[in-house]
Amino acid sequence: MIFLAALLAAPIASAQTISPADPATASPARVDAAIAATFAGAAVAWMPRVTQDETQRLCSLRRNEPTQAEADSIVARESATLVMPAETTVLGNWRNGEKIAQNGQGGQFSDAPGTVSGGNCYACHQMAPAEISYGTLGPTLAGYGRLHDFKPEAARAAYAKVYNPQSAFACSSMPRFGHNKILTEQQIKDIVAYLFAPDSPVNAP
Amino acid sequence: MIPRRALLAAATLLAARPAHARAAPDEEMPREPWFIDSFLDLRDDNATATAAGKRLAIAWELRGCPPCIALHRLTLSNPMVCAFIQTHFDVVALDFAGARQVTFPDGTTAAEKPMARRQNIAGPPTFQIFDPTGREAARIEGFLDPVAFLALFRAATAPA
Amino acid sequence: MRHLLLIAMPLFALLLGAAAPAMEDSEKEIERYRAMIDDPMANPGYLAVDRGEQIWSLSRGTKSATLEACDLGQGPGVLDGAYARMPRYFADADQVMDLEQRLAYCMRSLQGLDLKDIVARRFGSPGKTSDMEDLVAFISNKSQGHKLAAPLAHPKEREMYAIGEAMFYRRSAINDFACATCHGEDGRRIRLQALPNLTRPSLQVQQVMGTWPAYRVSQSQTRTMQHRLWDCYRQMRMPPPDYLSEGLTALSVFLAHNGEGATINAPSIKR
Repeated sequence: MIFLAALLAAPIASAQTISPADPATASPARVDAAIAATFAGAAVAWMPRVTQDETQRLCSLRRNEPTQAEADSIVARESATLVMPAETTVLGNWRNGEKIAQNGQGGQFSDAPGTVSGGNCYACHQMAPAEISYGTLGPTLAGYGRLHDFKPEAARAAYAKVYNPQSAFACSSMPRFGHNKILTEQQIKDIVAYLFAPDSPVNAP
Repeated sequence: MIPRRALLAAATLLAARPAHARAAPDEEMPREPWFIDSFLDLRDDNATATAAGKRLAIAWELRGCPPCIALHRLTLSNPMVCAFIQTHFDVVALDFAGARQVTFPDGTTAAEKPMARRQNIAGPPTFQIFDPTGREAARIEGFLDPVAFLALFRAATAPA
Repeated sequence: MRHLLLIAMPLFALLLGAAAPAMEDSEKEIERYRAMIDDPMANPGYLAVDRGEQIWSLSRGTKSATLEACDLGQGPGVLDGAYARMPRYFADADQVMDLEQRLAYCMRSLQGLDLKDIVARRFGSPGKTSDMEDLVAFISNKSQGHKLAAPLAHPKEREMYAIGEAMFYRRSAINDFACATCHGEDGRRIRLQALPNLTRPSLQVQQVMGTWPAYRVSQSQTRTMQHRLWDCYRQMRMPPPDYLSEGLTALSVFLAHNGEGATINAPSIKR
């Protein structure tokens, strides 16, 4: 019965929307052509940023809402790219980590050559409860290490999430800081220390 | 309902996510033993709760999320809190970043992540409490201490 | 503070009562401030309007012509309400154009003007004004009070809308950002800056799209939507998009549709 109703309704629905001669759609090739035209003047060294990798392509297509199977495939692919530090401890210097979390510089065409990139964590996350200038695009990280009982394996999981968040959450909005070489291993360790050091302001009550 | 739940437990075991989809052991979703297992057709769960004189509540959670951990550790594990909620509510946990299909008490269906957006869930943890008709009756956001948390759940069971 | 808030269902309305008056007060304060700086006498963007009016009537190019016969979609030389109905499809160019693209078209075809200098000065800087920014300030001001109603009837307009929508969600570059990363949900902030959700028609989008071009206090310049999108791509760690390129117009079509019905207040003044 439901099937029949759907059949009957179909032509009416399409008549009410758009006819093929009057497209409100653009093929992926047409969109790619528009992108190419828009960034035609970009320097050769910047062109890799214009094209997409498979994860970017799929997350864009699904508007960051992949199916379970797609999410699993993304997590598998991105997990395979993880490069974890050789040594067990992944905690660097939390004071440096705080600076990196506050620093939004780097990676922009307006930056001076040699600009060291920050992580800009505070743009999206609450971290130290005392810092009131934080964004809400990501979940709060206040008390992160304390609430994870300062466990070394939890710190390693945090390192992995900063290195490549899509190894944990498919189509996460967060940049893949290690995978895309925005931050160095030492910088990520410093951020992990900011999250996990017992005396870090992130873990202040 | 009990046979269905037993069936579900078996199905969950069979459908366990592949190893690569798991993060570190500490990254398991925090969960109370008294949360109910669900086939994620929340219309059924709402009917079951109503038949038992309870309300249905959804807990939006996220792996590794500090306020979620705090809520479980400091509030949901509080004997007063869990006794009250178990008596008056059936709680189903959903993953704020998840991709499982879920049908809401109002009959709308989507995967967890788009459903969270559609419902304008600000972030994890968030509790939504439903009335017997499937309408959202109350929403509780973020970490709250046991006293504040319990007060809001009590308010949600008071006659309108 | 967000994690301490509880929310807004009728049962809890009483608990929320205390917070409401404070919020209203601060909103009123902001509104008062807005009204103050929107005063034409206090908005330096109106200097650009005056310069733009002179450039509109300036004879130049190989044809020694003015722009006064330029058809912005409402007929040759008709400026009233033209900006509120752009971007749009132009049959003579067989292309959907935003105001700046259309002005470039008229400069070439009516004036025989070499666009090299115009494009070089596309974004003004201290001591160096931009003809385009000045013209857009002047022409957009002629839509003051009009409702934004960019047409979406022509197949090419619809195609541009679809391209703009796809681009809005397109993640790329080293940070994996799309426009939607910041502007895809309600009620989000970057640091303390509130982010409008631009993905669907809403009052928020109207408030954005009704207030460009704008005099930007932080840059001491009147900026257009072309500049705003260029600046977004800078923050997205993309290379600079080409001025007057197809993709920027596509994004403008998408945004204009989501902001349909906005009352044009241009040039406005912004941070």
